[in-house]
Amino acid sequence: MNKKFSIFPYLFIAPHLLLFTVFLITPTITGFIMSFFKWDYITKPVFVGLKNYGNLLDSNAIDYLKFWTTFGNTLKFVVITVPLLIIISLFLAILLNEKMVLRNFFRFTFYAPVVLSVTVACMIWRWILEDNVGIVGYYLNALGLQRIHWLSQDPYIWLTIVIITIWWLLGTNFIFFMAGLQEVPKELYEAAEIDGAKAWGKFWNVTLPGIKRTMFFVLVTTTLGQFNIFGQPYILYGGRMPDNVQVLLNYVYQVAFDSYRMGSAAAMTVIMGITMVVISAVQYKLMRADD
Amino acid sequence: MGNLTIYGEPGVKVKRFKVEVILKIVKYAVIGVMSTVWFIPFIWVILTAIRPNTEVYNEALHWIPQTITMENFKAILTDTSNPVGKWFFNSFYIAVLHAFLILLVCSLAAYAYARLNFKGRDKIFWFLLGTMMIPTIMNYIPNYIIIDKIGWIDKGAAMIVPAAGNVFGVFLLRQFFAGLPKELDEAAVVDGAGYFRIYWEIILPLSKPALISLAIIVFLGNWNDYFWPLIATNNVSSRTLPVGLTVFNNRYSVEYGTLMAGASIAMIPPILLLSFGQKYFVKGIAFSGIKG
Repeated sequence: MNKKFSIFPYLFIAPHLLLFTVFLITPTITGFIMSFFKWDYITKPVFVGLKNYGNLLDSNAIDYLKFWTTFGNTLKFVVITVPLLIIISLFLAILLNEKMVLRNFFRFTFYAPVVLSVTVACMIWRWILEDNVGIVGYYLNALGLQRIHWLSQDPYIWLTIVIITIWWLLGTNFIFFMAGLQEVPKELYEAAEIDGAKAWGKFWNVTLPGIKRTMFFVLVTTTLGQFNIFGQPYILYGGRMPDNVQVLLNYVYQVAFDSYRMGSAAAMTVIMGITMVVISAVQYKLMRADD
Repeated sequence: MGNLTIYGEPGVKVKRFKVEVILKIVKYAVIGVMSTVWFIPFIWVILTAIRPNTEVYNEALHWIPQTITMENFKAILTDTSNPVGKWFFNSFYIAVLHAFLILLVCSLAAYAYARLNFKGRDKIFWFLLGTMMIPTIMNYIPNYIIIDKIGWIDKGAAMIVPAAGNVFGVFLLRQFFAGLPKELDEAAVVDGAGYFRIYWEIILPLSKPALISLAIIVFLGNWNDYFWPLIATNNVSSRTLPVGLTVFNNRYSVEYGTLMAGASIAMIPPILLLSFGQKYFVKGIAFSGIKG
């Protein structure tokens, strides 16, 4: 193409860059700045330095207990769901990687829930797990077991949220792994077979190294995605959320949009954001360590 | 598989054959059970929605409804305090316009990043990619303030416009556009076509698969979005379906027939889209995993 300066290329990228700047970059910067202010959204913001952060470390401050409890719950949720979302989806992807009868139907069933909203996923499972006439309870009864109060009894409250999440989101990773497995050269399996490798050996020595990049991507995106948990507790319990399932975003939402303490809420999201970046970086280091 | 043992002892062959058959049965059993668990909820929602509430609360479980009725659907569509029809309409027009806006804005930008030479091109593009690492969680509260300043609270624009600045769409389309042969542009330039004509008449028509993939992913993401529409709307009539249904969920907490009718209605567009666009949806998702 011609060498002389032309304005046209910039016109092509301008609309996107404009939206990107206004709704992606500006908010990130504003968020940082807001976290140093005390602001009730009505009167003028007051600069308070690091006080919003200090409050999160001061056990006498109002946010202290709630922040750490809900942050802990988010972390607990991430630690439980991420391995499950990875292991189960990889397992299914490997089973469905070979040609088999009804393969397309099976695949469809696993990614169908992904296209639902969190609300619909929660509504469906609330009905399935319903205390008195839910089908899960019905079959537990038929097997001579007690009905479980899935939504009101520990530790089932947690388990319910985990079950809904796995059912709802597994399909995304399933798709990633299906694609990743296609990239593993078939000859490597044949070579391993000639060497007498059994199923486990093939998985460990051929499959896993072959999908390393996919695995890294899945690990990072799943972790980041699960950190954003908000809807499941919010929808299942509304305003009557039990303390042990209230997650950080539920609390941030409350601080920002119920009590309008914008600065404190911003500081919490900054801490959360930094935690997420650090965890991704650690995962990156660990995955690259043995390269 | 199995070729290597063909010349072995006959007994070994038979044994191995047996093991393979058993493994196959186990495999089908495992997948069958898992797949049933994953799929039954869909069936159960529909089967609940089309039966009268008296039957929903029957202690005895009947998979097939004894009476089929549309009363649950009628109940939710005529409930004036929970305008499910309006929410459906809101979700639909917002998701459609959002998908079109993203296709337009992202394809324009992707075309420039993939096919044009200009100063700072690679720097800007790498910067965009770098920002994909920023957790969007930090953006919600400031974005609320921004759209409040613009006056978009309770307006469809709040859910149509902001996310159109995202980088994923540009990235996906750029990779696709970059893979198209360069000679196409050169021939068009010889014919006297300008950048925009090349983009509109050559690049876009050749990129249908990528555009459809992106449109489906974006439509679904927007249709199902929860946190942002919850923040960006206050009026009951401005809600989108996922947010509206939450209140509805609490209100009808004991009428599961009605609730499942609501869930069925919310399920229709995404499931239809997935059924017809499965190939594009899967390819689009897989793309981000492979190139990511």
